[in-house]
Amino acid sequence: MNMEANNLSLSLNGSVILRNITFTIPVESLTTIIGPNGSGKSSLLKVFADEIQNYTGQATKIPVKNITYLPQSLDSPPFLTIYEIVFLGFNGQKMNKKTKVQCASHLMEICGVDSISAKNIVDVSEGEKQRTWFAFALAQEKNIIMLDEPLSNIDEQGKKAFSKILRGLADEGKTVIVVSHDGDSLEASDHIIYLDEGNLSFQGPVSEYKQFLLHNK
Amino acid sequence: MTARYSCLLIVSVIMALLGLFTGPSNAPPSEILKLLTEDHSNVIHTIVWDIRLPRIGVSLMAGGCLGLAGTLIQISTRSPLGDPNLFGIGGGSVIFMALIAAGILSAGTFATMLGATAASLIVSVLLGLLVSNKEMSPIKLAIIGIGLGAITIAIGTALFAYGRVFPSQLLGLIGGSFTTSNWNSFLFCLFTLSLCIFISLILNNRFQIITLGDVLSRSLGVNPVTTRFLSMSLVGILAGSAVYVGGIIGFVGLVSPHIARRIFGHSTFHIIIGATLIGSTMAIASDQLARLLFSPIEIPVGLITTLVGAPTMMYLAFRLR
Repeated sequence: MNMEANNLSLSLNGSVILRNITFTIPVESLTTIIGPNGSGKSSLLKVFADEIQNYTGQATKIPVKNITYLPQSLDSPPFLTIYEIVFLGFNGQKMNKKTKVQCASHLMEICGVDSISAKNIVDVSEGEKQRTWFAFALAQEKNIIMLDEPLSNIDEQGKKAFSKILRGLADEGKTVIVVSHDGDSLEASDHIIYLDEGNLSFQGPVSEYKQFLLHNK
Repeated sequence: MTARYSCLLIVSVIMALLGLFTGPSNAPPSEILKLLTEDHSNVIHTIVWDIRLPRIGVSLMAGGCLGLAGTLIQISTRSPLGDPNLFGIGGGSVIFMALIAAGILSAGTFATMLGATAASLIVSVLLGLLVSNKEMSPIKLAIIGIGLGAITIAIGTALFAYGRVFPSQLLGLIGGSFTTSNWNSFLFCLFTLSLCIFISLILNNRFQIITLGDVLSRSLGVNPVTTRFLSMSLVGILAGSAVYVGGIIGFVGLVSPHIARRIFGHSTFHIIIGATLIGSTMAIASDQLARLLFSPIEIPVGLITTLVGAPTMMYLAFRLR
């Protein structure tokens, strides 16, 4: 099932967030939603995840329990270690504990947080927090993955590595949607949506997006 | 892990022995030992069986209740500064007990137990709803909780003044005291504590997940609102029964989970058991100090726990980001 928005408009607290936008996000692909701060990217994800209801128009709604969803700027849970957070990502999956432990260590290694796994998440850097949440997201076994600015604090090398992982997930047949104000996962994406002050300025494949950028600069 | 649990148990046992063998009556230990095995109907027998032993039991249970309540309130509010008595949950029970002491309400022993617990339950559920409705920062919540706590104590004290109740009774309730312990209150607290530990251990995974925040809990299939409602209900029952048996004993609930995290790591399962044991140990140790420091004059046990707990809270506030 493609994810769609049809004449979608949204106002929150008196300010217009999304203005009558229509687009389709293809399944089993990697879509990046780009746009400057305050363009309505995060709100769009919340509409899909059924976290915001007072919009007008139509949008595909998916119960948040069927999505691997990472909202922007997550409050760090006060009492959990990095390992425990990654481990909680496996919650509800039919796997014995030993396998979960092994998978969690593997994911922490991939995301570069294995050496700090016993630390409380409150005590690590912003980049390390994002790496932890990324591992937490990878632990979940859901077909739709929506990540809001997952790489904004991660170093260049990490951004490349994580974009490759996201690409891999899309190739495995998952629908991956990433919000990013500076297009961190742009190169790895199949599809781009560009929002500007709540308007849809562009939607289409990456190659066309590059043309769009040339014409608009 | 076993070694750490054993250490706590050993400290508790030493404190219990101190509670059994020391006191203003100066009965020789040999005689007390003899009494435990043989039945004698003399004064020392009464002191041991009706005063010292129930008091040991009650302080262990009440401390455990507070330690567990503190853990659950910190989990459900995601605030490291959570404490059932500081946040007015124990205060709900104080108001009810004050109504009875002032003669405005009258109730038998059993009804008083239930009423005190229910009064705390109401405050804790209200606090839980408040957390669910507004995305609240730990600091905001701590300020609101402390305000609520001050209001409940003020109302309770006013009721005492209105009823012209003996100041010593007020001191026992507001300052915390185990002097009036009896077997009934021990059994009541034993029941509520066992029930709440049992439920907490069953729900331990859900409790861990709600600390991730509401959106992520929903995404992992755990309803944060009902889970918080459940855990805050347990907090109410625990805090209410602790206040019923020992009055307001401050900061045990705040400090126990933090010590438990230091000793047992971050797993919720071990923190639930560990914080309960640490609460018990803290309460019984503080009570020995309260009894013996200026013997034969007793000081309220809540003052001892506050002298230990309040600086710990200040330290935590410094570390809080």
